[in-house]
Amino acid sequence: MMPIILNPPTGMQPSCVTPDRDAALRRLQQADFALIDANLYLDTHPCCPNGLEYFRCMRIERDNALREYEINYGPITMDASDACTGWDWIDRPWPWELEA
Amino acid sequence: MWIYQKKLEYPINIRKPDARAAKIIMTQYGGPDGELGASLRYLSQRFSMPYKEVIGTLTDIGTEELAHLEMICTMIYQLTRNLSIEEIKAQGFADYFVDHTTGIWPAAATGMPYTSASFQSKGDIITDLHEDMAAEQKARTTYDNILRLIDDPDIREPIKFLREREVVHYQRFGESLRITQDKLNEKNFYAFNPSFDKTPPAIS
Repeated sequence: MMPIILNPPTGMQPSCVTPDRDAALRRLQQADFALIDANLYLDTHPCCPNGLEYFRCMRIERDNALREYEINYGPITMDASDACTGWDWIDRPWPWELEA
Repeated sequence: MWIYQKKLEYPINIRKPDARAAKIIMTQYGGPDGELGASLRYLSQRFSMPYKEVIGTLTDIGTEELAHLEMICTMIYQLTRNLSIEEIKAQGFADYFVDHTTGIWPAAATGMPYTSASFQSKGDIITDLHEDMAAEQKARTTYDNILRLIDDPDIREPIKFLREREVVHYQRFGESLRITQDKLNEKNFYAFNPSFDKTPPAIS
């Protein structure tokens, strides 16, 4: 039986270090940091309409950035592994390994 | 980096407060074989690991240990709810109470504060994996001892779950050691530290 490929690779192996991967990672890190910082703000300003709108907006950007990164370069969290052709969760690079 | 999940790994609902049990269980938060030390041991060791399977195992078990220390703290919290001063004195909790009230603070059952002196990060994969396997067995023994001391099923069930996870982790670290040895010189696993030495010695 043929395995079902949920996220077909787009030519780039997850462990490849390229300017494109670097840019996708920076985009994800920036969007994620915006969410982290908005989270802290909202913890102490739970009714602020502007803060809530900012959070909703940045969450869309984070979700898009996450999807783009994971489709092209592999899982950010273990449950995003496609778990079809192998357990790509353990593939390099790990975050502390030099990116270039 | 990490993301917090607003749930426990295994449900905990302890109906009957028991400060004596809380002091015993606390050792698996901040004691020498506790979950805090386990998590920091694995999350520290993984940086010098040469093989991706072992990096993944240390990352994932180190992460699960954080969920386990949350379970232990939840048990301590539920066991020290609504205590009267008379109960605190009668249940041997006055010495902890005077320093921390009923706040959660990592220490061993004997009162020794949490210390990283109870674990190693040696920068040698075989050394570290043997330490990790020993650590899981020490934690398993501690959970066995807790089960010898405590009868309340509300406490025993999550403790039994945590004990089982020690057994699973021991198995995974054993597999990590086997993967490592498969990659080394089978005539002398200890001649070469793949985490540090640049080239292996010639096989004679």
